[in-house]
Amino acid sequence: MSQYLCVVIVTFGLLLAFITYAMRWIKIELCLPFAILVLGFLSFSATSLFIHVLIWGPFEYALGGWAPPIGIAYNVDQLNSFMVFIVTLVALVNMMANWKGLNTFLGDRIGGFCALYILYVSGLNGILLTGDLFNLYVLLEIASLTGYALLAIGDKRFAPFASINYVFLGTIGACFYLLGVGYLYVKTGSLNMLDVSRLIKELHNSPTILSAFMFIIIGVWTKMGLFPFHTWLPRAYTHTFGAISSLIAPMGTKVMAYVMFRVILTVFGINFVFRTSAFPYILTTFAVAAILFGSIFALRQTHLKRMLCFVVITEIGYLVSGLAIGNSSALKGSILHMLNDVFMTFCLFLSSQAIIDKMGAKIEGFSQLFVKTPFIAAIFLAGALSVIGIPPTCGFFGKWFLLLGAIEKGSYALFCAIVLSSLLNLILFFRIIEVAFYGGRAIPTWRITGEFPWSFYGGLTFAGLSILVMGLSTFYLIRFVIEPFLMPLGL
Amino acid sequence: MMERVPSILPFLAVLSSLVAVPFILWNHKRPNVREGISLLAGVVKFLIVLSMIPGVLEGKVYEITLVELFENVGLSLSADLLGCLFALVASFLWIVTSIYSIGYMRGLKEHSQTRYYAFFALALSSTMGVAFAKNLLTLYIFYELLSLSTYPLVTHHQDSEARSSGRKYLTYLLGASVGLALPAIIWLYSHSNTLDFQPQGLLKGIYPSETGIVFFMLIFGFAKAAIVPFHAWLPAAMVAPTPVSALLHAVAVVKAGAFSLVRVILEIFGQGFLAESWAGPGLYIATSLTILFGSLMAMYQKELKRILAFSTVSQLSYIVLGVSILSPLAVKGGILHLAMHAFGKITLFFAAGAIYVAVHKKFIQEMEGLGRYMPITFGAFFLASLSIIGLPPLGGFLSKWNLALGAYQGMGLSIMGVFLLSSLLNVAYFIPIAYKAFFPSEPVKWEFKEAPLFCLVPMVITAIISVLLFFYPNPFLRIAEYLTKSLGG
Repeated sequence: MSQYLCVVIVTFGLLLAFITYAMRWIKIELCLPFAILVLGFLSFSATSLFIHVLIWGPFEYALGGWAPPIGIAYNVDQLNSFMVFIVTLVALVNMMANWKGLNTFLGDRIGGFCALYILYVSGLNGILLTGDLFNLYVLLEIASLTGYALLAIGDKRFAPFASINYVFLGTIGACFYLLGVGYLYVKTGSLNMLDVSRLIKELHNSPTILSAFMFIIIGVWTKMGLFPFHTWLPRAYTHTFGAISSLIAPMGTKVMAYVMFRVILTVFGINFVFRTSAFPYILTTFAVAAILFGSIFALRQTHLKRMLCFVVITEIGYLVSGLAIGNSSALKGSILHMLNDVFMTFCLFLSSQAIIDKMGAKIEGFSQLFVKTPFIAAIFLAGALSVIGIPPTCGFFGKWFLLLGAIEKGSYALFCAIVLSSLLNLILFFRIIEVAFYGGRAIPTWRITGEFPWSFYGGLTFAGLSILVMGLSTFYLIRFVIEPFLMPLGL
Repeated sequence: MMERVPSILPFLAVLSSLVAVPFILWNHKRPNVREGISLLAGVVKFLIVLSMIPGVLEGKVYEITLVELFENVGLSLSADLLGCLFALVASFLWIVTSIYSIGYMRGLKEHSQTRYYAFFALALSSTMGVAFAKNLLTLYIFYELLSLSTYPLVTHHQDSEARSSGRKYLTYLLGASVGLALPAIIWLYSHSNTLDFQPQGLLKGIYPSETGIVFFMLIFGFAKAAIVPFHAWLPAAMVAPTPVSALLHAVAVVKAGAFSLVRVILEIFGQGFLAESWAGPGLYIATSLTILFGSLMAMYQKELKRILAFSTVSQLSYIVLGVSILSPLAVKGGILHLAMHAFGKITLFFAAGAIYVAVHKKFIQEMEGLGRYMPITFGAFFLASLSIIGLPPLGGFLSKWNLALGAYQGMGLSIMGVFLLSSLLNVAYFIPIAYKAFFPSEPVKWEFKEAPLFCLVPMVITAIISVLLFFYPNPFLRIAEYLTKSLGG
């Protein structure tokens, strides 16, 4: 029974999005509560799905009863059901936390917004669950198009332009992916991931397959925002409305990172990457460049949200570096970091939104932050420590496995890049903390209520706690979520 | 001989001051209740630690694993001999410091006292975590938390001086631990697949060529031990209110560094490694230089607290050097020094703070003749400085005697010479302060002008304990002896 949940999560999500929009014809105020109800339902289904997989193991679901190589199959395993679980959960919490802000900011447009929001989340869920390369493209487009529309909401002067910029680059990225899938189809005649991976084994030396690999990986990297394909990212995330950046920044890039892992590891196999010496070298170069570039450019920013965007770019470098190292520990590190990063980014963007609301976006203006908003500042600090990699916050544990993998493999370039970027992040966040801590004395108020509704503080509490909980459950995440994904791949 | 007992006690020792934090914050408008909670937490913590001592002396090790983190490595606490020694010293002196803080902070009408007490409690929880860490990762976690939780204490004044010092504090401590210690820990894990402290070391006698480098990454990475050139944060941290300098920069923070190094030397790399690699001589040179450098620098300082800071830099390396010599007497002396130096140095800081509260003087030039106003303070100062120098009948004598003798047994005259030379330098910078205070060049009238009672009593207590430790050095001496025995056997 609960097997159907994997389809329910995607299809019901897509359908209910339109019903959410239709709610405005009854009463406009109904849209947001209904959207929360839908997200709650999705989140509940995702939880059940994850528990189902934990107990009964991974399974394949054939859509419409058509057997896999012809029909579309959904492959549900521990990792992607867990990703769906955290995506829906964070989406739900984010909407609840921003309930009031969204209502006042959007006014009449709330119906459309809610529909887009649910469509976006469903698109991501589909990307995560599907086992079909072309179906993935379709869902990718659903998530992308709704993403463009969402990101255009916000600062009237900059957001639409930033979104258009993203449309161009995002479309090119998606096209590259589609081209790659086309090449694979030409060569193998199949679109099912497992089927393609079986057929591809004898074709490793075919230039067509190699081109397909290149097209797909560049397409995915563009959508992920890996340096130097990142140019759309800072602008798009900076100028959009707070509640939207705290939805898309945590999820968009991480789900695409999952696609990278899924396509490279399941379809092509890690041996394909390490067949020649050139690929690991290229991957390492890209990862090191992204990590260092992100860290250094973050230091140059004066706008808080823009700075966080460059932090995201650094984190994407970490995700690629696991692949560049390519051994079991490093891949565990990257995948763990991908999961943790959802919560880290959510924490940082959600709290930064409150800080910007109160004190403006410029970092110099944050003096007395700890006194004026102790709670929000504390949550921001938790996210910052996690990015730096101070245990027991979750950011530490992903880095641990990455560094461990780098030592085992002897890739000291990446090792040094990761350590260096931790130190740069330390400087980065302590710059803010210094501004916030010094600059005249004020009487502490110890008041945390006031400007923001309680639901917002609830969201912040969730974000702060999730960072600790994820960190302390590392052992179980590795054993029950990540190893079952890597084990069948021989890692 | 060693018996592992599952027990929640080490965790309770960590927790006892952590649970006090919300209550301290809650009672921010009732200072008496707030400080009462601080004291209560201190007493509870001390009693918990104390209750483990008899068992630990019988060879029991109290253990608890809170959560598994990696394969073979968890967030685990274990109370063994060495951990209990450190925890006992730190938790006892926290009570004393809490009393002193009341006098100092109220006497100077400092701001943000609630924050001060809250972070103090947090820092003590982290210190207990360092003391009771069962493996290097747990140690590292609490070590980092200690750095972070002491930052608001060090920079309490929130002025531009505090800002630059705070920057130095974190740059050195976090920079070294993230940049040097963490990579070294990961290297160790990748080569041994465990991080538990064990007498024979992690590497089981197989030392790849880079082991020496990794060893020094850990030695310098735990920058709280303030080995040159990673010492500069300690004098900078003297901008903190004096009780903070007293407990943290004479006991909790710096000893956490020295303690971590003792763990690293004895229970991570094992005795075999130091004996047969170039790392041993390297460490002797680094620590000997630090000892002499610290003592020499102390002679050129004008501010009393800075003298004490450089003296601490020097004395910390006594501990590390003593343990790294590996002869039984030297190890015993090093571990004993961890406790003896704590009581002596905290008294000196208390005295410095009391002088500041009573007459607002920081520089030693201005202290001529002050002994006639503050006989109790300077009496305590004099006794404690004798203990640091290592003269009988004070506790410091026992540790230095063992250290010097052990150095002679283990290494011959050269290292023993370092110890003795540094002790002479100690005499040169400590004794004139006390002497001039009582016998100024121009006569000053005797007039009683001491600091508040809350400042005086703790200082007198620690000074008396410094004397008593000479006559009754237990349980520290017994712990140190058992420890060396378990090493030798």
